[in-house]
Amino acid sequence: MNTEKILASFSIEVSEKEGMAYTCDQMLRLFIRAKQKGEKFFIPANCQKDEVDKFAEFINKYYKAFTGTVKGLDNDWFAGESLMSPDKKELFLFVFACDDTPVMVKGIKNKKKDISLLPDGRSVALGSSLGLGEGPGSLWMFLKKSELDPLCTVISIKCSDAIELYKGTGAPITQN
Amino acid sequence: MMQPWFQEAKLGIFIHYGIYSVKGTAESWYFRSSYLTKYRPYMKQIKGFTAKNYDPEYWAKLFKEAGAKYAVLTTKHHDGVALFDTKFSDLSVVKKSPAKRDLVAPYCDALRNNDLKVGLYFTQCDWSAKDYTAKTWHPVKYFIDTYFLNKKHWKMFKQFHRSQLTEILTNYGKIDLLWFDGDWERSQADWDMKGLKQWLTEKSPETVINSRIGSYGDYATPEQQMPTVRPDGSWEYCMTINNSWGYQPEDKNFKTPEQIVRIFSEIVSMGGNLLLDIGPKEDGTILPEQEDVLRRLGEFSKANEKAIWGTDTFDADVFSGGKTISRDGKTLYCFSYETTNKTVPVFVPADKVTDVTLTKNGNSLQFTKDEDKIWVKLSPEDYIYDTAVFSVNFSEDIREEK
Repeated sequence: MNTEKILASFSIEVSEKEGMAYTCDQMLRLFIRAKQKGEKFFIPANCQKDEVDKFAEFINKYYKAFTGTVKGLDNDWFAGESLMSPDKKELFLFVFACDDTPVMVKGIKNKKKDISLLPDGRSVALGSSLGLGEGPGSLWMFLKKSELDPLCTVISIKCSDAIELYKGTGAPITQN
Repeated sequence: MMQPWFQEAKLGIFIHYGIYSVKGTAESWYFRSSYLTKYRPYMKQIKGFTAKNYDPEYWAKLFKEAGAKYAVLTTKHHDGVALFDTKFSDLSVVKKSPAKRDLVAPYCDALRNNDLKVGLYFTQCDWSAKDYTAKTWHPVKYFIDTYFLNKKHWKMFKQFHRSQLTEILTNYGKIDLLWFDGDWERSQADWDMKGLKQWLTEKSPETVINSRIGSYGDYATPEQQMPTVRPDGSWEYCMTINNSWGYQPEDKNFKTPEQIVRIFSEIVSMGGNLLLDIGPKEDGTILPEQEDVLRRLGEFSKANEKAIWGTDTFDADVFSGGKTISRDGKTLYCFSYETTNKTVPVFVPADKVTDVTLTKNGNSLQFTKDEDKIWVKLSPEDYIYDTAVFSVNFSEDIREEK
């Protein structure tokens, strides 16, 4: 598929206006942010073709994370970029890392979670979630350098039901 | 009453030290499930509690190195064993254990010597006290006491409780923080929490009181579950380094320095304090894994102290990561949690940005202005334990914009 077709399939337009000549990762960040806000993403006219191609190639490869997805988690649940499937059953986390990085998501209440890396479903090393008392704790995922996509690594957290979040201030534990 | 130092503290160290460290059982809770079979073996641990290498000066220096501004020691847990010399009970390490001495006094001295605020943990309940009863603890005694004895035993327990509290509030100099626990087995009215708070305020007005005194505490204490909604007012998140509060040798589930640094950064960004727990062994030594984590946390916190202390929270959605802002509103501190070699966007008015520096060493970072945002170039060496902090400096207070 060529770049134009890919961009068109995600309703991305190349603007007539010039702006900052973004690199592919910058386009990706802004595209995710536009999707979080439900806005359309325009690529400035003066962006270099090879950067636009790389961006298009990436969203095509990881199309699942960008097809119909909407705003993911707020910063107090996940301090990074995320998107959610329209039925809220799958969460996509975007990690722009080039080295080992722990990824933490707070308060997903769903017990059964299928956590994998896109696009091929490789598994992710998980840490202890703790989660005593009223909350489900935090979900820790340890990404290793060897498994990263140099542009951006996409983690999928898939649940059988809509993802339910713990919305609370935390509390003392009265049973142990 | 709440004191400014507490809101500025950001990091405290919680110490669960008690007879449970002899065999490494769960603190007090071990015998909760079966008093008949487990209470005696649990209490026997007191015979092995030596505190022979107890060196609170060493502890205090370590806490300070981690960046802590205060510490909280369990002076009495639910098992009722006091670490202090009490006139009102024989159940103390002074009278019953080979340690044979008051452990609270040298702890308080060591903290003060190192400019750390002194916190004492004191649980409200006491599962060893003969007059302590609750529906869920000695229900028969509770029933008789409540309905036939006009709460005679409960009144005596409260007197005992106040007497011990008076001891820890008067025998050890100024206590900066009193950390209650175990208030859930009797109602607020039974405890007379309102009266207790009034009594504490009169007796020790400068002592900060945590939440576990019914609804009369000075701040909230979320435990193990990080808040996703910020508590109102001041708060402190208490958390274990592995999964146990006290020393439990089989629990090797230590969080990595990277995890501790991340959690601390997130708590600071949300405007709370982190009360990080250690569980020393019976002789008073700290586990090497916990000591190591504290020293590494110190590396991070010292390098980034400008972003951590003397700052406020900044809630505007300008950066995907942690954030704090300087009191003059002219420096935004961004905590990046993805070890990247790319640029990260910060959505602030670009024309007001004067420069961007790496907080840990003040070196300038390359950045590009882009209308409503800037792009800051990071590289892996900017990170300490997988968190990089950078300072975005502005020509004026940017909070007015938001």
